[in-house]
Amino acid sequence: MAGPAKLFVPADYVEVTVHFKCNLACTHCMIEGTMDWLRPESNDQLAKILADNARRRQWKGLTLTGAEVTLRRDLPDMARAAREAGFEHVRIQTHGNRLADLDYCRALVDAGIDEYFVSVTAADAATHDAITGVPGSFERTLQGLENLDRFSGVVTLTNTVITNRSYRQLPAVVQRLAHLRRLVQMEFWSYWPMRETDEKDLIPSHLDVLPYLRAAIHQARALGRVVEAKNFPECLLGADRDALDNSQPKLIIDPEFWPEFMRNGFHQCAHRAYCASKSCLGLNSAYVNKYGWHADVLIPFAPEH
Amino acid sequence: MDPMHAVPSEAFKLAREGDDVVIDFGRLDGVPLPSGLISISVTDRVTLKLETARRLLVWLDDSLKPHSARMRAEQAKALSPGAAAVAARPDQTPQRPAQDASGERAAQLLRLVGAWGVPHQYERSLRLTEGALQANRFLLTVNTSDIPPDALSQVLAVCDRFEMPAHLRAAAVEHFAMARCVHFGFEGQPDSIVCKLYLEREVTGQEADRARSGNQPVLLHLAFKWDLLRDAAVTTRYFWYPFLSAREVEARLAHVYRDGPPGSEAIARALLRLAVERAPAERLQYLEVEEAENARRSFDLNVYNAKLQVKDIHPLMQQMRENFAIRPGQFQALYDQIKALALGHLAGGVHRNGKDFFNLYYGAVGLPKFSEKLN
Repeated sequence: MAGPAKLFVPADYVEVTVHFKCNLACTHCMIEGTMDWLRPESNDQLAKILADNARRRQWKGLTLTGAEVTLRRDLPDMARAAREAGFEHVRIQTHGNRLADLDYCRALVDAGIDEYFVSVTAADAATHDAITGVPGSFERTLQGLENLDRFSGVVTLTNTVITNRSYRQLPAVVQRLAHLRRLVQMEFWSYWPMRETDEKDLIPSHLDVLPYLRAAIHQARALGRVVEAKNFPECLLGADRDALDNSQPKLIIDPEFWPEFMRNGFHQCAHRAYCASKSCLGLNSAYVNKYGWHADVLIPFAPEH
Repeated sequence: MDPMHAVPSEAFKLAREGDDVVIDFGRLDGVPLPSGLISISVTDRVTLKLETARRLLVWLDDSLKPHSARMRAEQAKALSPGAAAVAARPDQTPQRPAQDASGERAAQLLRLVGAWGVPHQYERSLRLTEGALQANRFLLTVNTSDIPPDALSQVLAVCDRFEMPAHLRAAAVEHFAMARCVHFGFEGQPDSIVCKLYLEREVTGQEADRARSGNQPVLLHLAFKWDLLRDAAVTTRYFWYPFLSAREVEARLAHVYRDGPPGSEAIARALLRLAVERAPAERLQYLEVEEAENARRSFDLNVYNAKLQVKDIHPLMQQMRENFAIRPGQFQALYDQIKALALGHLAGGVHRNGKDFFNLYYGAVGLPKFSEKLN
């Protein structure tokens, strides 16, 4: 089943990491080991990005990200500055707990934040809270999404990281959020550990994930939502391969992040040299070290003749 | 003299004029030009003698040193992730797992044949045996007349790269003249990489008719197969029974499966019935397979002309999966990738290890099909 047309063009967006602190402790956090020393972009650097873009009009949307940007008290100010600099959209990446406060939601919306990319780690409070390490976080996230549903002109997107602890709930996540009117896009990201081994035993086998992921894709699409699967082998998705979208906006982050990121070692596959896929990230080092190459299951796309 | 006032500058241009260095300082206008460039208003011009310029350079360099790390970081933000990682830590090389040997060998075979620059057919397959589903397999087919300039030497050069055993190489040389086309086969497993060279004979219509009249098979393929990781090599003969009716194919299948198992024979018969609903049995191609070195007794039924898709035999594949106790998730993951592709041929029977098996070929892209060429 083909999904709705894409709503967002990654090249239209720039992501700026403005905060590296968080009040949850998600087991799958990809910057868990680096939050303490990665340097967020300063206000001056953000101002420069805004000024540059006011001149060049390179990007239409700004995503304020890092760890949990709602912990910054000046978040509304940053959003206002971005809007005044000409950004058509301001997005935040958040776990959504502060959005449970309706007044806070209103303040962000009034400041010009019109897109909310919210992490939903599982379909129920017990699982979600166990993953985030904070009791009550699921209810607050859900309340935040429901609060956002009250504001016209706002869209919400969700991100669910696929781990051993969450993958069986992917379809249930879709159903749990089915009532949200402003939820336009659901993303499912296969976990990567930022190192060469899966020390936390969080990486599930793609073969185990596959039926749940495809069910989630189908169900979300049936609700009219755009679905993006990330970091999953394209071939395995079969007829749902159009859900794979590994493209990302330009990310402005402390360059010290990238050597850590490169430890993931994407783009590995036994068939890589002759597979015709152009967008697949293949397997990563930790996956191969844990499950092997799956050379007997991954079927390369035929070379073009 | 007017009091000096500081003028911030965002841009500069350097030029040599005689023995002077001329620096124009300016400010960005803030309005992009239609070309996408940024216009700059020149606010000041400073002319320096060379020695002064040299001293300025030294001072600038010293002044920037305390900020160099931060400036490098700023520059790195404009780079791609890979380039930024190298810029940030030039000495760090990510540790990657050892490459999959079968993948490298498969890529090598595809590269070598592809380098000929001639039309070739690429066809993948999967094998089901007790407890195992193997799908890292493919065939490459090339007409010998297309291989420039000397087909034999070119084919042997490929085989040599894959360490073809001497006795198989000698046999390939001896029989190569009969080959209308060659097929390179590849099967990769963690503990086994099997390479194959098939020589496919030209079978004329008259010879096929004679064989049909005499109820005799004709040799179609002579295949040489060897394992790169194990000391194993075989020669396989593929005999074509031309233009059999459906009833005759069923009789042959009964012969192949005379010692069982009945479940696999039923699957083979079911596929035949399905295929003959779409194409006359005479336009299918039924082969039987022998290996002198072992007790292999198997068949290969080509059903491309029935224009089936893999999904058309889904119930049969599920039956195979159950019979061979294949993990459902593994089977489904594989099936979903190939179900919309053309169904090519099914091989089955008793393999060289004495075990029941099925090979399913699918999704050929490239050259025309055997039967059409014969017709």
